[in-house]
Formats: sequence, C-alpha cells, structure tokens
Amino acid sequence: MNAGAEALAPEGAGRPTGPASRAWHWFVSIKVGLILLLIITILSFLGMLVPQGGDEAQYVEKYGQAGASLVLALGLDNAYHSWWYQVALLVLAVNITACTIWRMPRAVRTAFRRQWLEPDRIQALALKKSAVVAASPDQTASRVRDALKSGRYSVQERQSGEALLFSATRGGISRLVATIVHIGLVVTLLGGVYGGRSGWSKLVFGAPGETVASPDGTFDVRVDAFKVLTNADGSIKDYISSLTVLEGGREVLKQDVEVNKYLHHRKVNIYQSSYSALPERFASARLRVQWPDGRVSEPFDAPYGEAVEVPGSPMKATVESFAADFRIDTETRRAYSASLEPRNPAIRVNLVEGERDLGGQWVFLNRGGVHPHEGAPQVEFLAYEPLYATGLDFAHNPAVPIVWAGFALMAVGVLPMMVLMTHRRIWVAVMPDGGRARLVAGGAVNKHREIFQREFYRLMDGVESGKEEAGRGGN
Amino acid sequence: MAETDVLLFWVALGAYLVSTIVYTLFFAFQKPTFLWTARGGMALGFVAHTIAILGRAVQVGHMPVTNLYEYVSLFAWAVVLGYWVIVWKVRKPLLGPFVAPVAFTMIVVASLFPKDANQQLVPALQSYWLQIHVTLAVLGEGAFAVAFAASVTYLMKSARPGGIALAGSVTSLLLAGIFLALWNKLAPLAVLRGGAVLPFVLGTVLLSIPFFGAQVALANGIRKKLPDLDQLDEIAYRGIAIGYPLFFIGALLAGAVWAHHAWGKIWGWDPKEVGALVVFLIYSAYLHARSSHGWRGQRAAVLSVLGFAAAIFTLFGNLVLGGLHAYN
Repeated sequence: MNAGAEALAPEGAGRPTGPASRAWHWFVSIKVGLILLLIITILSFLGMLVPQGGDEAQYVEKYGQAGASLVLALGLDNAYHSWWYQVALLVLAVNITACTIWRMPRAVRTAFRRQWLEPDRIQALALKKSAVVAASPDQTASRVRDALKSGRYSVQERQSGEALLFSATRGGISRLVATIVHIGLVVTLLGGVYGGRSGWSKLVFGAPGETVASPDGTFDVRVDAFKVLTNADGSIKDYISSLTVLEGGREVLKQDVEVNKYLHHRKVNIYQSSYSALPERFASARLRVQWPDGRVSEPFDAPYGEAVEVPGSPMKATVESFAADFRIDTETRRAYSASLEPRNPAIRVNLVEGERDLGGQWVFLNRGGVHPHEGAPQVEFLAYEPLYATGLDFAHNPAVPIVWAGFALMAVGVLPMMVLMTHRRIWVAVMPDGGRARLVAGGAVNKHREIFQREFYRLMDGVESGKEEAGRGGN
Repeated sequence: MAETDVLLFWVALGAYLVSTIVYTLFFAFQKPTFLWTARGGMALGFVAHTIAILGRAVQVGHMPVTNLYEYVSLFAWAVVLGYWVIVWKVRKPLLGPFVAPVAFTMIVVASLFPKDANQQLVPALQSYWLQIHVTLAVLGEGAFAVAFAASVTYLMKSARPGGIALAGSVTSLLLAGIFLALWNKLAPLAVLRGGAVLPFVLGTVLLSIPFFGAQVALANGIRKKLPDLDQLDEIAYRGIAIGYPLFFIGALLAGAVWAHHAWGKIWGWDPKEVGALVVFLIYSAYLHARSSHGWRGQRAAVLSVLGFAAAIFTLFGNLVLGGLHAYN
C-alpha cells in the first residue's frame, strides 16, 4: 500500500528468531496495541453504565440482590480503580512505551536521513515514471528542480556518473508525529500516577471569621466573608469566598476565590468547592410574639445572640441557640443538631422584660414551641437567614506541570493530522540520451498513497511536457 | 434578537429538510438541477443557522452551548460545516445525500428541547474554557458525523445480499434494548419484567424500518448509484483525521485543563469524561488500524460507525447517567 516504502525500509529487518524475541515483537506490534485499546474501551464503557461509588443498598434497589452482588463482586461499583482496569491501563502504558522506544530510532532516521537512489533502484519502486524528454539534460534538470521546489520539496542533487540525481523530501517530521503523541501519552500517564501518589486534596469548611489550617500545615487561611450571590430569579450567580492567607499570624495574601478562580499559595491551590449552612448558628431570625390575651406583635428580626426589642412591648428577645436538625440528647437533656441539613430547624429564645427574666423556650420553625409555658408570651419562629460556611478544597498536585507537558506533546502530535501531513519522497535521475534527456523518477510516501500519486504524476508529467502545471503541492 | 435566532433556527431546519428531500431526488434521478438545488438549500440553511447561533451568542454574551437545544443545534451546524470542509478538500459533491439527513436529524433533535436563552451562566460555566472546550469538541463531532455518513454509505454499498437487513435487525434490537434500559435507569431485566416487552418489540420494528428500506433500495439497483468505495473510505478517513485532533484537544485536553482550573481535578471519571475517552479510544483504534495495520473498507467503516455511536451516546447519556456534565 505504501508505494516504494517497503523497498526502502523492509519490515523484515531484524526479524525475531528465538521465542523471547518473537514474544517481544508480538508485544510491540500494532495488533496488540489495537486489542488493548479495544479492551480498555469496553471496560471503560462498562464502568460508565454502572453508577460509581454507590453503596450496596443503591445497587440492590437498581439491579436486585443478584445484580448487586454481581456488580460488587466484579468491582463494577468502582470500576476505574479496580485491579482489572488498572492492569489493563498498565499493560497499555507498557505497550505504548515499548512501541515508542522500539520504533523511535527508525522513525528519526527515516525522517531526517536523506536517501539517494540510483536509476536502477528508482525503477524498482512501485510508484515510478520513466520518459525521454524532448529537451536537453540541463533544461530537464532545471524543470525537475523547479517542479520539486514549487511542490515545496526540499531538494538536493548530486552527480553520479552520467546521471544527475535528485533527492526531494517533504514532511519528514510527520514520521515523528506518532512518536510525539505516544511520548506525550506516556508522560501524561506517568504524571497521573505520580500525582495520584504524591498529591492530596482535602475539603475544609470555614465560617466567616474563622481561621482554618492548610492540611499540610504550611499556612493558615482566614475566611473574611462568604457570599452567595443570586440573580433576580433566585438562581445562583456566584459563590465568593474572601480569604486572607496567614503565615505565623501575619497576613501575606488576600484574594477572593470563586468557582473558576482559585487561590495559589505555596504549591497549594484553594478552590471554591461547596458551602454549607451552619447547623448551630445563623445570621438572623424573623420572630413574632403572641401574648396570652391574644395580642400579637409585629414580626421583627433578631440577629443571632443579640438582644432586640419586641415591637410594641418593653420586652427584649435573644436567640441563644439554634439547631438546624433539632434533637435532644436524652441523657444530658442537651439540644443539638443531628445533621447539617435544615430538616427540623429550632431556636431557643430568651425573653426579658425589664429586669425580669421570663425564661427561655425552644421554638420550631412555623410549628410553635417544644414545651410552651402556660400564661407566658409565646414566640413564633417565622423564618431565618442561614449563615454559611464556605467549603474550600485544598489541593496539592506536584504532577500538574508533567501532565501539562504531556498534553502539549500530544496536542502538537495530533494537529498535523488535520492537514493529512505525510512524508513524501521523490527521487529523479536525469541522464543524457542523444540530444535529449532520459528521466527516471520514483516516489514513496508513508500513507495516503492516492493523494501522493496524483501529485507525483502531475509534477513529473509537467517535467516531461515542459508545461508549468506542476507545483501546486496538493494534499 | 430574542425571537429572531429561534426563527432563523426554524429556517435552517426547513432548509435542511428541503435539502435532504432534493438530495434524495438527485440520488434517484441524477439530475444536476436537483444537486444544485439541494446544495443551495444546504447553503441557505447553513447561513441561517450560522446567523442564528451568532445572534444567540451576542444575546447571551457567551458561546451558546449551555443547554441541550444550543449544544445539539451547534452539533447540527458543525455537521454541515464538516460537510463543506470535506467537499472543499475532496472536491466530490456526492456526499450531500448522506450528510444532509444526519444534519437534519440533529437539528430536529435540537428542536425538541426548550429554547430558552441562558444569559446568566451557573458559576461552574463562567469561564472562557467553556468556549474552547465545548466548541472544539462539537466541531470534532461534526467531522465525525460526516465520516459516519460516509462509512454507513460504504457499508451499504459493500454489503452482501441481506446483510443490511440482518445488521439492521440486530442493531435495532440492541438500540431498542439500550434505549429502554437507559430510560428505566439501567435495569434491562427489570424493564422487561415490568411489562416493557411491547415497547421493546415496537421499538425494534420501528428502528428496523430504515434498514429494511435500504435493503429494498439496494435490491432495486441503488447500489450502482452509490459513490465509489475508495472515495467513501477516503472521505471517512478525512472526516476522522479532521475530527480527531479537534475532539481530542477540545473534549479531553481543554476539558482536563478546565477541570483543574475549576475543581482542582484533572480527571474525575465523570460519565461524560469516560464517554469522551471511549470515543477517543475507538477513533484511536480506527487510525491505528487504518494507517498501520492495513484495515480499510468494511472493518474501518464499522469502527467509524461505532465511534460516532459512542459520541452520540456520550452526548445524550447524561440525561440518564447524570454526573458533573449533566444539562439542566
């Protein structure tokens, strides 16, 4: 299929002899690489179909007991970290590395070494042309030179006996494209493994005013503010954490962190990852007081922990405690929040009238009190504005530059594919034949033979006829 | 522009429909008038579609790829763009009858989704990487679609008697099964136990109709009118050679860089990420097999079809598989 290429660089060179050599040749063959690619494709697809990281109950609900047992037994619940997937990836990585090492010297040699072919060898190529040109050898040589140069070939010539030999080459670098992509892939995989082993990440929650430590202990971060910005329709516009980096208590950096804008300090990246309403504090509650005689106050806002006046009365109310998911510890009789979720929000409000303490009471959101005091004013808990803690993801991955280098190599390697870049070589011999010239030309290409063949004949037909139609390179 | 872009979208849909019909007529009667009319329809649709996409981009202030309507519409546009690029590169007008139905199908699918414009992006999407990641990936998928059209045509032309009907029946059976299983959250046996046998059979029969239609057409001399096998093989290869770097750089590399930028993770095994990896692996296998192992013709065409099927599955799989890339 590759015109002339086989004659120039026979695959048979260095054929295996012993069993070990045969095994090695088999392992570095494209066939094995192909099989591995298809195996990993199938395994990846399987993992895609089964939800990852679930617990047994989820799989039982989805697939039934037998299906769930199968999923768990095969490790499909964590497919991409299972031993069989890791082994397949490892074998592919070894295969790619071996193939790259095995083929690279020849690829480099072929890409950069200029070859010279005598007329008899040119005529042995699969793609060839032979003609007697109605022009002098000098004129013909000039035509050959012009045609090849107009085709953007790098041309060299030398005299060999009576024959003037031309060696033209174009796109030799394309021989290295696959090598570059494969090296990039190996570098990326190595980076991934290195990053997986030496990198870390940890989610840390911090409420405004709190200082949290970086998991590696090299610095602290104070959360100055955390804002959840919303649009007019109530959808989330942005999450912004205003942070100050502290080293030994000294402020060294201030920066706002958003979803697509992380903070980088001392090889640690801090990402805006999530947020959570504080389960035992809030910003402010909306309350109302109802007296035993039926009077009801206007609703009023009570910031957490602050004594505020109850409208239309001499009383003051203070929210002393909050539990987003209210529970009572039956032994200590202490109230607490059973979870981070606002499943059963309740507050403890203390009322004071002048110097007289009317006592505290636990009140549920829109559901009245836990143990309302008979004959005492009752507080209604109408709404509240949560206080959020920002979820900061501290991450350190020393392999990121390695992965980027791998990516860059792969990108550089795949881009030439778009223009069907090929290594095209043309050899021409011009010899005197009476008063005319004898032209012997041959070509070889590593792929896309049809396209090259059209170009070869266009160029050489142009030389033969002397018409200036040659040279539009083509692709 | 709020309504205009949707109006132009409908104009494009109509133009692609007309183009598909007239291309079919050209294919049947081989009259140049039909060819130029069909190409004109395709060109008109493409211009309207381009203005619709640009108009929406101006309206929302970013590349319109943030919901399924916008993404699939851009996908259909990329299919037509891929068609023009390949026609320009290969200089063969024969591809239209096979690409136009693909573009038309995609734009019809896009039309099924809500067309609300998202001026305000969710925080995760507020990044210039959105433009790079999604745009390059969809352009790559457009080129894959052209390769798919050429490969399907190749398989039709080179099929043995009865081969299309047989392959079609098996494919329809699988597609109906996968569709029902996904629709019911991936529990095929539970689906059948739950009384979905009738939809399964009906789905299989309905999906089989185009294959049997193609079989009948082939039996009636259409085969000779199909393009030359070598040309189809070359077109499929060109489509993949153009789509592969775009998809790889856009979907995988740019996606990984963005993921690191936004989440601190280069790779997270999200269903969409794995789907993109599967697409990449299949086309990698195609390229290796074709250029180094001498695989051409039917086997290469099958890989090309599988690659595109994986791309479509990855695109719509989020509807049931969820994950970080799920559209609202």
